[in-house]
Amino acid sequence: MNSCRWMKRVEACFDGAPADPAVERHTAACPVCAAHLEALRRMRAGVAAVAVRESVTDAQFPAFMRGIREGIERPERHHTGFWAVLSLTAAALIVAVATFAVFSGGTAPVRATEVESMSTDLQGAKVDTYRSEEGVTTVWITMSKDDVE
Amino acid sequence: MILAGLIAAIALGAPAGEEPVSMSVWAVQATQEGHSPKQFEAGLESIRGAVADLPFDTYRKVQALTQTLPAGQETRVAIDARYTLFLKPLDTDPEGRIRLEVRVELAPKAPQDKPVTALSTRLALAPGKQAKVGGFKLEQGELVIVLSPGK
Repeated sequence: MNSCRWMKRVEACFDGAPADPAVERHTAACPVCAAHLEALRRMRAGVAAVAVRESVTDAQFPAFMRGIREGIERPERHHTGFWAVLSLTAAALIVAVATFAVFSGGTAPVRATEVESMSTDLQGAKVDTYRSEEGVTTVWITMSKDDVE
Repeated sequence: MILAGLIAAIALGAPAGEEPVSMSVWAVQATQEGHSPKQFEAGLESIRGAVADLPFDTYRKVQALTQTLPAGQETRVAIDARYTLFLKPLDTDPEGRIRLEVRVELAPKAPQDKPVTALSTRLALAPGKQAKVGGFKLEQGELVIVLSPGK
């Protein structure tokens, strides 16, 4: 930002200090101070525009008061509590169902029997598993008769 | 209300891993003797379907019982002089199946020897459905064990 040693005096005149012909002459000749003064004027005009207060005229006053009265005298909504209870119930149901799904593994039907592991300590024996046509899970060992004789 | 819902959900959905398990056990001697139709000793009617796929035509009862198995503990079930069955319920999986360790031990040939684990398997048993382990050699035929958890 450009600067000039006269700027403080320009601002003082702008803020209502007694008129100073020297300042006026300098401002007319100095582009820096002229631009600064113009910026100050624009800022003041902008602030003034924002700070305009709304006022209610005598003609508008009855309508203004009627609006206030309607706001005060409007009957209360008695079903607010009902909706609150309904919302709370719905929330509780959602939480309960979600929790049930987590702990029970959802609504998946009971599946067939499964073999998680199988082994034998008998030398040369072999273990297999299969599911019969009847759906019966089977673990079958093929062992030698020498193991028991 | 939310808390009550949570408690109810947990109570309904939690696995019953700590509860004892009721288990029906049938141990049968299966032999091939040329019978047609297949012959089942009295008391074995309920396992006809479970052994229908096996190449035997005669089934004799060796052991049949319903046992309550404490969770997490191995229960010993004597089958005959050679074989002993051990059952250990572990827990219940999310589908409601009982996870069960099944072990069949073979007695040693010589008294100084130790028993041998002929079969060790871990099953996830669907409630009300049968499963079987078998192929254990006997002097005649083979030993088949059918398991069915209570509903």
